[in-house]
Amino acid sequence: MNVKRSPWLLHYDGSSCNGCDIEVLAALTPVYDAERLGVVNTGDPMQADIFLITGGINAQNAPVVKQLYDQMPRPKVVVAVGVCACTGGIFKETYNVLGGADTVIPVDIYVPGCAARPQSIIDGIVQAVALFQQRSDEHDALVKSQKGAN
Amino acid sequence: MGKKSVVPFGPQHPVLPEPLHLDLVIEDEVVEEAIPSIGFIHRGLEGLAEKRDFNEMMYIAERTCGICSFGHGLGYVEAVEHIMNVQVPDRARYLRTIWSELERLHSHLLWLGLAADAFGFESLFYEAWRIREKVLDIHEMTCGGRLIFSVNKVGGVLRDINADQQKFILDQMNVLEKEIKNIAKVFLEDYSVQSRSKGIGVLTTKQAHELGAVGPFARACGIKNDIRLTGYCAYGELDFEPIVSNDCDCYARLEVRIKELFQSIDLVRQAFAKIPAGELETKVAGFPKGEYFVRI
Amino acid sequence: MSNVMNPEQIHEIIPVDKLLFEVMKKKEAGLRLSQICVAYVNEKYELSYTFADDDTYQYSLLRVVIDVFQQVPSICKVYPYAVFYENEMAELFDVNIEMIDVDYHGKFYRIEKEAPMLPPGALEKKAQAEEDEKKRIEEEKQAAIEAARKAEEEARAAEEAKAKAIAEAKAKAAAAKAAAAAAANNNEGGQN
Repeated sequence: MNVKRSPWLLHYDGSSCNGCDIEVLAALTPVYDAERLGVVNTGDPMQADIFLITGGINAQNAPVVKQLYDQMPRPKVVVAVGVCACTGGIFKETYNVLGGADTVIPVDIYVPGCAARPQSIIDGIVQAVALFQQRSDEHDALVKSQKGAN
Repeated sequence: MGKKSVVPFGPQHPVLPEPLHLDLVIEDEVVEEAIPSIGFIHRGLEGLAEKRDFNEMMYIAERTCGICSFGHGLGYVEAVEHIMNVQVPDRARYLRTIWSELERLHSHLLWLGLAADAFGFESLFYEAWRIREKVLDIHEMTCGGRLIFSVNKVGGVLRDINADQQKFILDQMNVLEKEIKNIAKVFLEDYSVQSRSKGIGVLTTKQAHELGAVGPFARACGIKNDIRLTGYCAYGELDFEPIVSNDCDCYARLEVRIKELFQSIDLVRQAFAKIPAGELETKVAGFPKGEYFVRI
Repeated sequence: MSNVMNPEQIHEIIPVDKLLFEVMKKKEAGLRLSQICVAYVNEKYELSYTFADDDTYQYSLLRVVIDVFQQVPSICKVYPYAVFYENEMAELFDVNIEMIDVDYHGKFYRIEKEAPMLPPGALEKKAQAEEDEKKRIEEEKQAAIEAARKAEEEARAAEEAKAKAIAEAKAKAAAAKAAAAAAANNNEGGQN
């Protein structure tokens, strides 16, 4: 199934300063248009394919991020945008931040920067879409082989 | 009398990128109470002030918020300069004023875009943000970063604006003024925008005073309060009046911010006309000891 | 030039029991509460309540210095939005504030670490200081009860002594009277 022409995004901010979030929204506006790739910013985790996460993980939002990841249907791809989501950034040594997004969920693509530029974010989304197509093909093959076995 | 039900409005919601948890108590489809649960963005960065050098703390203070980052950095640096009794040279003060006003331009355009998105007018949201990209290009040309500038330091600024960049910025101000006039017409005179904002969200002057409102929100409720009149940086030498509206509703807040956009363009032009040549920073020795309160 | 208004900031240091009165005075003058913050200096808390005047841009500060175990009254009845600052102070620094309007009991931000802004070891010192203070108050109370009891006993003893003295005096007077009467009878009998 050819899904790489319409990936839907879910964007969540866990303890970010909003710099990377604004750049994610700016990547969807006319100048750096990511919507020409078929990307739509949806608010519903059950309809999303790609999970864009910004900001580090702290005690309050660790269960929330885990629940959002579990609510998304497979196949899915996780992109960590900004250095706070990659490793914890400059807030790594505070008393509340536990680290980057990979302390609670498995991350596939890391986009560094503070604040990450829209060009890097679009590069990350393009790679995520290619990975998503690959996972979708594997998922289809798996389902077909199970049906064949039955 | 209907039954009350509690609907959790979770930290992830499609309205805004920030996480906020509300427990809405709903009776017959009208929201009676909203009980907030906050603290998702708490990183504890004040605790880092004990672990970092006072010069490095400026970069951490800037990342309190990515939209108004210059303001946070400026507040921190002004407080430390006051404690250590450091006089900032004139050119640095004017440069700080210019960057402050450019940041105000980008911040108000961002707010206007998100307000338009919140009442469903997506093409106006995209138009406001397209105009905002021009301001961000100016930021990138002068400071190297689009949202987080990192040009302040205790004692002055790190970068300069040379004559070519100055000419480019003044040309862009003319272009911006024309484009903002176009969307101002839509914001203030379009029937659908007016029907979603006139008479909605009224906060009377008395209530605003009792709840401690500040900034453009308070100015839209009739309280004449603009901290720039205390004359920090170079605002004491520029000429402007605070913009106040007495209507207290959502339309008044749109109006105040749009008028402040034009005022910011005017202030940038005034600052460039008066900026003197000179040094960019003063040498600072020793460590700060004491306390001071700064308002930006 | 626009008219620049930049008056000097006013600092006042007040004791804890004057806090509510001074805050109400600021409210009568029409000032807006700007922020409340706390610092842990020399094993005491230094609270700073700052107020801003929106017409003259005057910024004034009330400073209260308290011991770590002391209670501070909440000013939420005067300024309702102080509830955010006071809950934050109670959570980050473990300041004892009583009667906050909406009290989250230290779970406002739901941080895992207890009182994260205090230096390590300060919480134990505070618990120790609270214990000491409680003991001191108990001892004072006991001493007061003892003193009251003793005073009561002494008063009772004094009363009894006084009563005894009066009884003795009465008895002596009665005996003297009886002796006088007997002597008078004898004389009369002798004469007859």
